[in-house]
Amino acid sequence: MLDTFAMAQLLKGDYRKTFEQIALYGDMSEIPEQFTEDRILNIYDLLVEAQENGKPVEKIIGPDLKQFCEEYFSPDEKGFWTKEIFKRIFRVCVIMLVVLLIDYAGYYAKDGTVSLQSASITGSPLLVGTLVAGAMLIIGRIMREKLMFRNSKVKPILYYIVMLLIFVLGIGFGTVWADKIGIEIGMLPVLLICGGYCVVYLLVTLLGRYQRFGNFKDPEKPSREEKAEKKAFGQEISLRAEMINSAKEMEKRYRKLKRKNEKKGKPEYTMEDFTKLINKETNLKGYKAVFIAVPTIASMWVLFSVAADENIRLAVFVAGVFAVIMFFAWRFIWNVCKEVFVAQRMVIEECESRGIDIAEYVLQMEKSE
Amino acid sequence: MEDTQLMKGILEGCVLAVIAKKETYGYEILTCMEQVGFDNLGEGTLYPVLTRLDKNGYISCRKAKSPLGPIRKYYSITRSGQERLEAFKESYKKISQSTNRILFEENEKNGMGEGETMLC
Repeated sequence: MLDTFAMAQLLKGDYRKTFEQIALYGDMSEIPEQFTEDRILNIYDLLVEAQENGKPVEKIIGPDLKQFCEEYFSPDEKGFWTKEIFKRIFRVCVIMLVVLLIDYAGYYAKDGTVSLQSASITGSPLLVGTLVAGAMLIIGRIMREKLMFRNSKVKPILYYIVMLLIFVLGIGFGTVWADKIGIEIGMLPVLLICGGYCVVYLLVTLLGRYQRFGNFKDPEKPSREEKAEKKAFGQEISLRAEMINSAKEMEKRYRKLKRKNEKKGKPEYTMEDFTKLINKETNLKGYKAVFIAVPTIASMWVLFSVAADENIRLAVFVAGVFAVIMFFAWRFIWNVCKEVFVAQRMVIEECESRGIDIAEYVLQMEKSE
Repeated sequence: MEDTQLMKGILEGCVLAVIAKKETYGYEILTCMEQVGFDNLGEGTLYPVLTRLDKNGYISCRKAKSPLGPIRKYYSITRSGQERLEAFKESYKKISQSTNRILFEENEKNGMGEGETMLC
């Protein structure tokens, strides 16, 4: 996923505002990510070059931003939405099947046997709640499309927060409602309906592809190189944006520490002291150990606490699921932290190589902005 | 915009002609089109044209990093694109000749001014 906030940070004035609006429209439209990402990257390139050459934004997007977005993000393929609806139902079915599989494994681990005909999915209300939230999100996005051009002063981040709230509330209300009326989703119907749909969908899609292109490959799917290139670009942009933020934050912190020392009558807090502190704080090796140790210890704790109930099989299963969830959650947190640390170190390195302190670095940066 | 419909048909051929000259990218095509008089052509109109040409196999597209950093799409014409361009040139020539004859030459013969048309 593209970090459009970081991308916008490297643009100025009108170019930035326009890009933020376009990215918001693309990000939140119902059009698939791959489709919008390509277009967002393309308009970003154009706006960066226009900014460099001093070409007005209107020369790129025309006088009407709303009309531009509608034209720019409109799918050019006939029957696009019909295909898209079938594709989305397929995705929901796959998720349902994965939930079913995990749940079935859980039942099996607990009792050693489970009847598909009589068992229902644990947490059926939660599943219904998630589906309700998904539907609410689609309605929210349609509403947003109508609102965003009327209130161009509203910051894009607010729309993302509102969407997140809609999703969370949708899950909450949906779950409570489904629990209240006692919705139970049977395993067998899910297996038959979702499994059947997936088989039919895959067969039709693959045969269609073979008929049109002579092979089963998805022509829309980006190649591995393309994905890697996009990822590298995303990382570079995020790092550049993070360096700007980090430099400002570090400058504030440096001043604060300096003042603190002055108040206490301690010797002057120098840039050298601060560099040492940052180098110590951003020592990735130490953090890496913590990031590996915490999920491992947590999983072991879950394993032993469930095993205390004398059901070893269930304990291993629960600990395994827990470890997988923890792994992905911690990997996400690790990546975010790592970026901040790397950015901070790079700012320090750049200051050292230019022979300036952070305050000067921030000043130069603001001048160039 | 009064000339939108007219432009849509011609645009594809013109964009193809721009790409035929050398491998190029969105901003350059837009600037080139602007310089020859397509003033109000924005990326919102150009990008769908490029996507259509790409999907039909008339142009090929490669992605590379631009000198300023972002990932850029570079377009070049394919063999079938060349053929399509030649066909477009031919048909445009014929249509424009006939159109000019109706719109302007007939008027001149009948001593009418520009803008006044003689309907058949």
